[in-house]
Amino acid sequence: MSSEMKRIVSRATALFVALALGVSLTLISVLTPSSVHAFPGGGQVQYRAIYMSTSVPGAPATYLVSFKPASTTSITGVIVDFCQTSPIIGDSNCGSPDNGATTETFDVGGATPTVTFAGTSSGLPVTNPAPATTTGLPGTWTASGIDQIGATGRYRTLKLVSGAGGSGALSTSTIYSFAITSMKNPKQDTPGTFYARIITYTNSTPGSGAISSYAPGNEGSGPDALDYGGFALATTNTINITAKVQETLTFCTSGAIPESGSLDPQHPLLDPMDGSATTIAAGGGNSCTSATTPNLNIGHGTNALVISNEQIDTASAFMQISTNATHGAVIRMKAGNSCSGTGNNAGLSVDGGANCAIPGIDNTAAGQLVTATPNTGNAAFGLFVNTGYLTTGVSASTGSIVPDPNYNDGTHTTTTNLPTPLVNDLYYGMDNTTDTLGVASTYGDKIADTGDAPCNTVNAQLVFAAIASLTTPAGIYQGSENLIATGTF
Amino acid sequence: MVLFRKVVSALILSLLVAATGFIGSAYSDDLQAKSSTYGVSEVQFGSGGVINSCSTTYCSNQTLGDTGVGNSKSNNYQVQAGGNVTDRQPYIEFNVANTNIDVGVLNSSSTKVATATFSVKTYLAGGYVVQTVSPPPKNGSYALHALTSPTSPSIGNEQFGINLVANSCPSNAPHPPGQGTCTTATTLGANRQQLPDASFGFGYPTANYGQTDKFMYKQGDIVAKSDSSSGTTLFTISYIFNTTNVTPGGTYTMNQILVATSTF
Repeated sequence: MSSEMKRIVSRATALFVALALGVSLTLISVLTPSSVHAFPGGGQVQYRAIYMSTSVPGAPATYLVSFKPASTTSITGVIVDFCQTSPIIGDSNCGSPDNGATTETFDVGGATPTVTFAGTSSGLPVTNPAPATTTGLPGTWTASGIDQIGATGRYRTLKLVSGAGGSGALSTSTIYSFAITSMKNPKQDTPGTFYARIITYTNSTPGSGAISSYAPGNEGSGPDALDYGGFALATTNTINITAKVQETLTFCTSGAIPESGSLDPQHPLLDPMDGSATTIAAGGGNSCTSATTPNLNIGHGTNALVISNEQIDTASAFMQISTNATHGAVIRMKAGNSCSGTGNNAGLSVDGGANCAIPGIDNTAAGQLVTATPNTGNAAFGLFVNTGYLTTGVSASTGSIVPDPNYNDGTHTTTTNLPTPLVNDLYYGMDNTTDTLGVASTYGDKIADTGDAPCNTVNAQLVFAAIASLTTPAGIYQGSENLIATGTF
Repeated sequence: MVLFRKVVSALILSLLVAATGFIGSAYSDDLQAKSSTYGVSEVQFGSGGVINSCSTTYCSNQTLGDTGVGNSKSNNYQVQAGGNVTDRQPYIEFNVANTNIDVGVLNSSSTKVATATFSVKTYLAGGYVVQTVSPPPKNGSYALHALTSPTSPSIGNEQFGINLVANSCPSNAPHPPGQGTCTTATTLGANRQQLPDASFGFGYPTANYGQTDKFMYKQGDIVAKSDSSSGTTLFTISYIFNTTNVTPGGTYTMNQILVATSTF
């Protein structure tokens, strides 16, 4: 062989050897990555979402995991891994969702999280399109937490392992779900986004194979590792709203006003606060702002009103009450004329209350009412409290006024003959049977209440009656009755 | 010796050729664009682009000559087109502002109001929903009456409700600066804002919470949503409060929890 030929052959040999070495090294580098970067062999699950029962950082929560599988193969294992940085399958960077926070709370529920598989019957608010229901993941499942976060007893990853037989064949048209009820939200220093990854497994021996060695970036490969997908979730601030409602009690008394065109203006009988404005000449309204001064003149006659033994004379006042007290209000009456002594119980007096020649109606026992008999009976002064009624035209008017039995026995309640009732139309009271609870006591006597409930613009008529006897001294008799409402909040 | 040098030279050359041939052809699970047998990362077919071009205080991702950028979608399919400016992983961002609101003292003669804001964006999603999962304001066990259908404010009736649109200030509602007042003398709340504009954001209030001057509240309701991936939508919640003379006295509180869920 010539020297030239030898040179050519040596160069060709060198080139061939180098090329062979290069190709070999290249093949090795091609083959090696494939065997390291395994990847699930199925497909990406669709319509996947994790519904959080609350977005409050650090709060206990239920996470409903829902997805449509990409494969129909029966599965024997599920991994749901929660990550701080990435939902990407194969990314070894994961980390607990609140890793590094001032107070780390995230947990799937310890080593034995609680998971339910009932599905949802009322539908999920999935946007495009909206399914009617989800189906609980079939099969029997054992849940465990893996990837303990430090030595805290908190775990980052949920592992589900089925019983023998797995889930059975799945439908790619069905959204399956399971709920992790033992979750605790992450508590990032700034509420925000975190992620999750789901991988399903099909090993014929549940719990074996790729799922047993699961780690981010080492999810396994097909056919053992099947379907997969990523999620994004978010915690956020709570909107804290505060509003105050004050305890309220509105109570007023009013004189009556005459009906428009009334022939008896001396004996007005209408409530100016009850909303019946169309029948009221003036001052009609639906609240205490329409109240008139309750100066009552009891009696009959053309020029001057007088009382006598011939009839019972009356004059009406009204009260209205509104309160938001949870247990409503009690209305008590305190008589200005003490008139202490037998038979002189808070009646009408000509001497400023020292003596009551027209006494409060005689009550020998609590609750007993005595009719006022004209002509031959005793002089008497008493009160009848009518049942409450709502204010016309006020849609929010609600509640009741319930008279005390001492002032309304429930039977003698006829008001049609007012201002001159018949003897048995009405029964009256002026309870002074005990020093501590009567109209002359420190706090007065209860005449009504609101039925242990709040009320709004409820009215009631107060009919004050008087009759003289044949021996009642002449004079101008007066009395003052103070009504006190007390709310129980 | 000479032969040895030649072999080494050729070997080095071969390795360089082999290494070059593998740029963009290594199969990795976290490749940004891939099929089952081939994938690439950070490869742009186009005129050019820059990833994370940064100064000390500002970074940007830039593209040059991309023929199409952004979201394209039909009823059943959507794609995110573009270079490195487009995020490539499922994502949701949910922010709530105005987190502490004191409405002041409620009464039966005026409507008290309040506003709060939240924003949502989500990528690579089929959409999102925002639910309100809290009960209405409560005083112990007593809850303010929540409107069960879109209803106008009515003084003297106990009401609590919200919406996510611009409204006129309810009559008798206070409007000077202070607790429980309207945004201005004539307005309460605001319509949604798509940021930076409507070609990026697609969130909207649901029907029951999107009616001007009508309010309602039902625990668990979806109040806002999007039917696709969406840039930032900024929502304003408007609240109304009315009481009656029988509304129990006390302090009413509501810790309103909003939950945003994306479907991917």
